[in-house]
Amino acid sequence: MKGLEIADAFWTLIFFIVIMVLVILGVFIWLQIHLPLFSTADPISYSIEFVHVANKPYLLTEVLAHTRLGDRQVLEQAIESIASSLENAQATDLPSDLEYYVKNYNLKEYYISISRPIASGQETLLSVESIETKCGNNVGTNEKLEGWCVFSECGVGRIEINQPKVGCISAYQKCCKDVTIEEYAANKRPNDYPAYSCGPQGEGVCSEGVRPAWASVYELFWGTYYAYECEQNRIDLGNPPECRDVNNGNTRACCVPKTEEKEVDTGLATRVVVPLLYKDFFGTLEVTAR
Amino acid sequence: MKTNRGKSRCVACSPEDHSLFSHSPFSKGVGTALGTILLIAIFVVFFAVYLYMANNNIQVRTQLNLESLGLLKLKSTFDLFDTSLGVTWFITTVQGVFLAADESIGCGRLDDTPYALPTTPLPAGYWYRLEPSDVRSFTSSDLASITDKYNSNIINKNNPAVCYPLDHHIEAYIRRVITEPQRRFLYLKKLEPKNVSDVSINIRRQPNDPDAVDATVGLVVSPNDVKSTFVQYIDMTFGSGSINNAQLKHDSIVKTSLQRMVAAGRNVIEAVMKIAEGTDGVQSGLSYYASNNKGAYELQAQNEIDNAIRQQSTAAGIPLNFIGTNVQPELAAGSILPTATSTSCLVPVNTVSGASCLALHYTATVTYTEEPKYYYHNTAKNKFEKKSVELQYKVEDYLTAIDCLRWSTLDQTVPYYFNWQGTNDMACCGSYLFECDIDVNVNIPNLPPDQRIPVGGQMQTQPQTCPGPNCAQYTCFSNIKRALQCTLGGFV
Repeated sequence: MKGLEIADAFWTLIFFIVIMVLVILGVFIWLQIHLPLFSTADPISYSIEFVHVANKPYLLTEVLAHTRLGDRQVLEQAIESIASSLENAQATDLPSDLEYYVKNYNLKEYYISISRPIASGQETLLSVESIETKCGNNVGTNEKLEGWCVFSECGVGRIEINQPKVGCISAYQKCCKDVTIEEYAANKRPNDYPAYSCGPQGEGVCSEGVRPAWASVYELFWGTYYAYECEQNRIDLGNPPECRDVNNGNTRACCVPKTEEKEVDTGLATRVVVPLLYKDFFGTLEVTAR
Repeated sequence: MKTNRGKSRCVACSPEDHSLFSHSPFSKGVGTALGTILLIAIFVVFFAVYLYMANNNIQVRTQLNLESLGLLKLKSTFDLFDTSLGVTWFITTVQGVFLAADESIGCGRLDDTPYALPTTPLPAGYWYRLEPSDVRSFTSSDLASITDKYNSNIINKNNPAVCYPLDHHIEAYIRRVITEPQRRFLYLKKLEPKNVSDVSINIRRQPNDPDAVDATVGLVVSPNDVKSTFVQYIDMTFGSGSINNAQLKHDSIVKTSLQRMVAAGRNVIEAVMKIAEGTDGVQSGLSYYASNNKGAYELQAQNEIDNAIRQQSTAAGIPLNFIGTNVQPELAAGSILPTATSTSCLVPVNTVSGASCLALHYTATVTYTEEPKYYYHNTAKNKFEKKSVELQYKVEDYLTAIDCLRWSTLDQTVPYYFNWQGTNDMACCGSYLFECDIDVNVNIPNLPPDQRIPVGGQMQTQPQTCPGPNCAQYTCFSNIKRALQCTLGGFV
C-alpha cells in the first residue's frame, strides 16, 4: 500500500502488545490483592503486625506485675481485693492509678480487669479501659462506658447517645451505643433501615456500613457487589448473603458490637489471664491490648 | 539483495528470497509478534510461579506465627503465674509474721516437741508465771540451759514456768502458722483451664492431703527482717506445648524487728527473775521495809519493774516510743516456806502455819510495736488493714516484800514495825505478820483474822496450842515478853 510501511505496522502492533501485557499484569496484581485465593496484604507487614499485636498484652502485664502503685505492688492489691473487695483491701485508688499509669504507654486500645468467680458467674471488681474512643453515661461504676465515638453515622443496630456525661474528643463525632434489635426498632429514626440479625450465631446486625461514592459506578461497571465495611468501632464480619437479601441490599455489612470478648474471639486482640491465688480465694487479672 | 523503495518487487534477489517474501509482505512481523507473545507467556508463567511461592510463603509464615503465639502464650503465662505465686507467698509470709507476733510466738499454746506437756504450762500470751502455791525451783541462771521453748516438760516441771523463745523457735512457729491446715494458707485453689484462657496449670499437692500445696517453707529470722523461701513444683500445658515438673522458688523479705522484740522479751524475763531473786523480804531489792505506806510501796514497785522492762527492751534495740507497759501490783499475806536454797512466800496463807510474809503480786503486760508497713488480713471482718507487727507478752510473779521469818532471825526479842496505811500499823513479831486494824476497810488481803488486832486490843498472853487459833499472837508475846497493843497510832 502506498505510504504504509511494513515497519510502521509492525511497531504499532508491538506497541499494542505491550499495552495488553501491562493490562494483563495489572489484572493479575489486582487479583492477587483482592481475591481470597491469594494473600490480601503484603506478607512482610502482615507478619510484623501479627506478632506486634500478640506481644503487647503480655509485655504490659509483665510490667504491671512488677509495678508498685500507691503503697503496694499491683499484684498484691489485686490478690487482696479478690480475697475481700476493693474497699476492704483498701485498694479503691487502684483503678485510677492503673489508668494513669497505662496512659504512659499510648496504647490504642486496652482493657484491664480484676474479677473472681461467684455462684452466678463472674464478678468484676475492677475494670479500666482506654476511653479515647469511648463515651457514655456509665461513669463511676465498674461497668464500661457504653458508647463509641464515630465520625460517621451510627449505623443500623446502634443509637446515638445525646449529651453523654463523657463525650467525644471531636465535636464532629457522635456517641453511638450498641443496642438489641428490639431496642433499635423502638428508638430508630424514621429514615433508618430496620435491623436484621446476621452472622454465624446471629450476633451481628446488617448495617449500611461505609462505602465510597464511586461504589455504585463500580457495581454498574463490573456487575458485582462492592464490599461494604462496617462503621467505625464495630467488628466486621463481611458481607454475608443474609445481609445482601434485606433492605434492597443497602445494608449488606454484617457488624458485631466491638466488645473485648468479640475482639479476642475474632483474633483482633489478645487477652492475657493471670491467676490470683490466696488461701481458698481465686480470681484473675486480665489484660487485653492492641 | 537490494530493495527498491516503493516497488513491490525485490531487485537482484535470489530465487529463495522471492519465494519467501513475494507473497507474504507481513511474515517478518508475524514471527516477531509470535516471539513476543511467547515471551509474554513465559513471563506470565514465571509470574504465576512467583505468586504461588509468595502465597505459600505467607501460609508458612502464618503457620509459624500461630505456633510461636502458642509458645508465647505458654511461656508468658508461666512467667506471669510465677510472679503471681510469688506475691501470694509474700502475702502469706506477712500474715505468718503478724500471727506469730499476735499469738506471742505460741507461748501458751501446746508445743509440738517430743517431750511437751499434755497441757500448756502457761496461759495463752504468758512468757513467765510463778505458781504462788509452790516453791521457786528455777532461777535466772538456769535460763541459759533452756533449749526447748518452755522450761518445763513431762520429765522436768519447773516453777516459775517460762516460755523463752529463741530465734529457731520464732522460725518454727511462723512455719507452723503457715502450714497448719486450719489456717488454709497452703490450700490454694485448683486451677481449671477454662478460667485461665485454656492453659492447664497444676501445682503439685501433698501426698497425704490432695488439697494442700506441697510446698517446702524455709524461714530465716534476722534482727531487721524475716526471709521466707517457698519451693513447689508445677506443670503447665497449652496446646501441644507443655512445661513439666518445673521448680518454682520464691523468696520474700518482710521488714520487721520481730527478732529484736523477742530478744527484748527474753531480756525482760531474765531481769524480772533477778528482781525476784534479789528481793529477800528484809532490806534488799523490792523489800517493803522503807516504804511510807502500801500505796507508796506499790508505786515504787510498779516504777522499778516498769523501768527494768524498758531498760532491757531498749538494750535489745526496741525504741522507747514502741514499748508499752502495764504493771499492776497488789499485796497479799502469805506463808513463808524455807528450802535449802531459798525462801518462798506462798500464797494463799497456809492455815496451819499462819501468815508469815507479805507477798508482792504483779502482772506486767508488755507490748512492742513498730512502724506500720504491711497489711494484715483481719479474717473476722475479711479486711486488710495496715498495721504494725505487735508482740505482746505477760509476766506474772510473786515477790517476798516482807519475810517475817528472816526479820525474826535478826533479833527475835523485838517486833519490827512497818507502815500499811498509817504509821506502824503492820508488824513482824515472832515470825508472824500482824496488822493493827485502824482502817477496817483496807486490810492486808488473806491475813488470818487472829493476826489482825483491833484498835484497843492486844495480843494473847495466855498459852495457846500451836498450831491453832491465836498461836501467832502467843508466839509473839513469848518472843518479845510483852503483849503488842493496837492503838490509833499503830502498834505499841
